[in-house]
Amino acid sequence: MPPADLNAYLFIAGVLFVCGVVCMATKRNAVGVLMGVELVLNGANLNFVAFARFTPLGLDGQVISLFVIVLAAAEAAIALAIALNFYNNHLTIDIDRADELKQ
Amino acid sequence: MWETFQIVLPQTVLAGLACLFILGGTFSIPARLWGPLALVALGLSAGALYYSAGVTIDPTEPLAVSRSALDLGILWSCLLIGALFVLISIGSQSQSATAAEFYGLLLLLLSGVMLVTVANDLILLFLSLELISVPTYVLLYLGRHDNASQEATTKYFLLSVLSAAILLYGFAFLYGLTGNTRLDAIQTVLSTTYGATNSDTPGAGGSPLGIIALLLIFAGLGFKIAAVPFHFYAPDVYEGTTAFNAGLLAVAPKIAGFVALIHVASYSLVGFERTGQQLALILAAITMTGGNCLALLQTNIRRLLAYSSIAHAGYMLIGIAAGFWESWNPELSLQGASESGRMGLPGGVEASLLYLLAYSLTSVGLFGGLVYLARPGREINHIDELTGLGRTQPLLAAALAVFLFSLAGIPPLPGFWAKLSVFATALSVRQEVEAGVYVIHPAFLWLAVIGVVNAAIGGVYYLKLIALMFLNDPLSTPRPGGGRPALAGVLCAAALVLAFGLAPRMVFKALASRDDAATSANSSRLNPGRSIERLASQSRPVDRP
Repeated sequence: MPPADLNAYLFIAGVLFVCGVVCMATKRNAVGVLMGVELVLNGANLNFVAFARFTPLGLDGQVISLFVIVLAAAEAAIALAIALNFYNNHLTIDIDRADELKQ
Repeated sequence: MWETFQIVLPQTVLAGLACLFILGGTFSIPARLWGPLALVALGLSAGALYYSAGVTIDPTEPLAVSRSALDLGILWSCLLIGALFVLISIGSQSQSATAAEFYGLLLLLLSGVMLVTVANDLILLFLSLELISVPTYVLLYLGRHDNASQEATTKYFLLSVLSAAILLYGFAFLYGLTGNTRLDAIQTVLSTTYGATNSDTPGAGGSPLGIIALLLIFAGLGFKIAAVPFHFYAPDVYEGTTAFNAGLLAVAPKIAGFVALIHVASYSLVGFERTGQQLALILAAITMTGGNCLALLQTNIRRLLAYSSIAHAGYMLIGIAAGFWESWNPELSLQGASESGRMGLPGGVEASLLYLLAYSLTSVGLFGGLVYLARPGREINHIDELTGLGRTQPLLAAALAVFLFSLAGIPPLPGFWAKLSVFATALSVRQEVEAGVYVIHPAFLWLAVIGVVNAAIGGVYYLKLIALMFLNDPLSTPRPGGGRPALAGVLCAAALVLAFGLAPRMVFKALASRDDAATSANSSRLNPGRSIERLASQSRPVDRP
């Protein structure tokens, strides 16, 4: 089997991206939606690292993905606070229950 | 290297003081002090900006920041708008237990907007956009504590994170295409590969990667500027939060989104202008029409203003679309400028920025008026609550009428100058029908027609609000709970709007002066579009009979 090339990584990243978007669109649990976001972010991360690895572009891609990992952690912290508060008010984290504002 | 620190000094001052505010919240300091302290913090940042305004950058040095004269104008406007926001919130925060956190987050958010303006690196740009989003989530949460507010916060958070992720995915492709993270380097690489002089079909783009990147960047920033079809969160979130937060959401992400869009898509993505132009054109048409038509149906004041803010994003996109055309048709754009003689009106991108300034000032005042009228725990919801305001609160009603007339585009006000500029840029777009014969580009002609029709539709609901305030008898006597500083903030905004409307030459001149700055060492971006613009401005006729 030949070693994986850039296209394989880009393909996997694309699959991760689509999985994340589908997960966000279909999951009803707020934590599940958050996991979808993480998939999308990691799809982008994988792209950055793959571009940096397979082309003579230096370390920029890896550094960016490190920044993004930290950012994702910060966002997860806020997301969990919001989910907890949502639970306090609605006694569930099923986001379909939040339908007070008219569409 | 040292210049980087000098240029980000105003932002650093703001962010550092914001951290002090959040730390200070743990001590028992009276809540009414935090608002004036926030004004002091903005003043210190303005001092830092004044100090760093003279800093010049060596264009050959690879720096993560860059700042043209135009960017400097945006920074000053951000500070001014931030000060107005602080002023209108002082009254409602004077008793709040979370005033310190509130102002800390507001300052952080503002430093994020100012960082977006100077960012010259993909990762710095992305992180500063997040520096706007993250405090916004917390501010939305702090605003109100009912179920509707929870829903608004959750909705905004999830969609905003998704948009950030989409934007990042687009940046990844841009990085892969050019091998650089600095915007000026990306521009250099793209113009040597796909630029007008090296390509048979200028502006058509040569790589699908670039087109994917452009699409994803438009989608990601489309959420920030609330362009249709990425707008659907805006009405719900505005309705579910306080008037102050709604005003903040209507202004801050829009400024940041448009500035980022201009820096990345309009200036840096050389060679993909044709795609960008089509995208911006379609988005502009559907955003204007969608926003205005849906606004007609609204009875909740914040929902109505949400749809109106969506519609204004559409007008600003007209300028962006024309800007794309100008950069891949330098000769035609020059000819168009001399033929129609834009009469000193700015080019595409500058027209958008002018619109953005007019819209932001007006929106701050308008939402400030709602903040002033609201009482703790009781917002102004239905538009009928404004009935007869001309009798009960004549001063405030007059100010609100100025803002509404400006948004509707009535002549002596900034909204009119802004609309005139974007429509003029759309009509200056030419197309070659046969050799040497140029006509107005039909798509842009239609865009301008749609824009004018939309301005008329917009007039309906703005004038309806004004009629409600002045022609009807009051249903009840409002008891404003926003306090005197809020009224002062609204009146300041009204004075600024009137001054801008009566003396637009000053603003136009500031926009024109960017050409000189682009050539000086002040800007590290070597932008062909800018030098072409300069040529165009030289060939513009000075006096038209």
